[in-house]
Amino acid sequence: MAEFNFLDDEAIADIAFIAKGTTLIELFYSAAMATASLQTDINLLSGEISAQIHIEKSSIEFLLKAFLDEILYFKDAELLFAKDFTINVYELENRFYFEGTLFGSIFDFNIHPMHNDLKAITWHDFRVTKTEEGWECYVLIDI
Amino acid sequence: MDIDIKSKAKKIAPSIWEIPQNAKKGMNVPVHVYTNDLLFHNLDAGVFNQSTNVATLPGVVDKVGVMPDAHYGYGFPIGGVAAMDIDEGVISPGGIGFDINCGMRLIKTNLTEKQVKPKIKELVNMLFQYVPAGVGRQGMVKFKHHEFENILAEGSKALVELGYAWDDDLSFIEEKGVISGSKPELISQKARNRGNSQLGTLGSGNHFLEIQVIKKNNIIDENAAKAFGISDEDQIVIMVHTGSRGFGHQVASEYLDKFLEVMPKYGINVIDRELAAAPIKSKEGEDYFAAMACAANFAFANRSLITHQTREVFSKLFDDSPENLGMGITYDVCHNIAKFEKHKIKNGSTKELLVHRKGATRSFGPGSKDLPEIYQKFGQPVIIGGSMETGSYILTGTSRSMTEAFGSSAHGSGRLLSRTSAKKQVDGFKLQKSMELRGIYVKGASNKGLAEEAGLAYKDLDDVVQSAMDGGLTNPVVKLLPIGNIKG
Repeated sequence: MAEFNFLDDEAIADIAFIAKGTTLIELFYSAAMATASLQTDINLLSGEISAQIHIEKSSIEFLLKAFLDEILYFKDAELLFAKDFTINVYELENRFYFEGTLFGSIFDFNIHPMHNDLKAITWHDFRVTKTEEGWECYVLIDI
Repeated sequence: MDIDIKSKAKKIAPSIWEIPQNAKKGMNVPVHVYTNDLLFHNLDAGVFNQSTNVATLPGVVDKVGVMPDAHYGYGFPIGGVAAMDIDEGVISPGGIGFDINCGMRLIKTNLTEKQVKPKIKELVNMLFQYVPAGVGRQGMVKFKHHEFENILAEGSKALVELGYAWDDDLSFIEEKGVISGSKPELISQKARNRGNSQLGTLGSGNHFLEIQVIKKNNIIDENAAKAFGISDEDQIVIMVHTGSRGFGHQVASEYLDKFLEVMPKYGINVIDRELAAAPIKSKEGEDYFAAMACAANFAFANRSLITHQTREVFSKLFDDSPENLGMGITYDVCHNIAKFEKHKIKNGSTKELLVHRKGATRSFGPGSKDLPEIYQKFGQPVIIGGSMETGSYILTGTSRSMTEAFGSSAHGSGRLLSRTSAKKQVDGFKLQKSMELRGIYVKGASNKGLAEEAGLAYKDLDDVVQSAMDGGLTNPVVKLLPIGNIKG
């Protein structure tokens, strides 16, 4: 279950959200669903197309940012709008790994409403923090 | 801490405020904010924090400039200008923005409002078909691999060779439509995939194509307006605002990440990760400049292809060739860019610097050799786009802006309300109808997008222009009023 909330008026020309999860995998899922839902009404996507994503990074923050960057990449490069995800995140010898699948549909402006055309995941106050309940991240997206 | 910085600013001349170098630990230079009293008091605290952060970057020269339309951004504020010493300074993607070479272009016509107004709906609807806007609408021209490579290397010049732009256009584009030093071989496959179907598309957000009219009583400098070809009563012109689309966003993202990883190697510490930087004279710094130049050239070509499509639409609808309709370019300016330029600095010497302009327009004064000969007497046309409800301005660069702000001025009205606030206050559908009653026919890819761009979401454009004038950065030439607009 994805857990996120958008922060009104956090950034004057952009959009920010906080996402949460009891585990890192849940956190990544929440952040991904927040990002996907900023693009269109994900309930109107059937999710019949899938794309594999593999990422290796030096920190958990770099890993999360790179994963969210992928959602924007598929939007522009293939018009593939994300609806759902399977996610695995793990650490091995101080390196962080993401293995997962993006499920989505090709955007059709006659069917799907355009919410926001996301340009970039920014580093502006970007953070992944350990909380008492699990994990939390702050993400600001340039639109 | 932010409020403290604002309170340390002192007004040193009309519409010029100085934040002293000791306002924040680590500042290498002071900050100059170019606003009238009203805009200054309304400036958000983030602008003060971010501009003083920029002043801590290694090699920053003389001062950091904050333009009258500034607002909180990431890394640099929007409306931030910083010039870097080439030997000691850094290049920062955060000083350019994700939308590399986002810019404005003004296209002339010899048509009058009387000829265009009766067909405005048809015209806007046709432009909406020919100039794809919003998400999911791809460019109408598919370029072959070698053509795309040439576009990255040569910008608008490549489109002239392909027959999509006029040879005469190039003289009226900043840097003649090509940022030199590009290296297409450095561009990732991801950037190519994001960009290759987006040439000739507007995108979304605040990007637009607008049909505007010149009213005699809105011409402020008749001689300059005449030289720019925009001085006739009721003359119709077209303004285009867009950039390098997903291509530029990908290039910027990739290098921001790369710079964050290599900064320790160069001993660079930045206050904000969006200020990630590398020495100008380092492999990473040089590679970013070369990749950024490719994205800038992509953006020039994008605006040129949109110009071509616009010319085609006018030609079809008004049954004459674009040449006979007088559809040359007044000027094309970048407002998200870093460029090597020579400037006179505080110690009296003239030096080549790397000037970062993020949400700021080059504003070269009279006599600049970089301008077309017929403009040299007046200075560079500076294009300031307003909201779709209020109009836009053409101004001229000044000699003062050369010494005061590295030849820079404002780029737009500057946002006042967040997108969320604007959407809460405005219904896009109702706005469209009310604008139509006021003689502005607007067509957008989404109602939400329209609501975000309502006039009330922006600062008063006249205040911005007056501040830029009082601060000595630009002089107004003509105010342009919208009659038709397409938006993403």
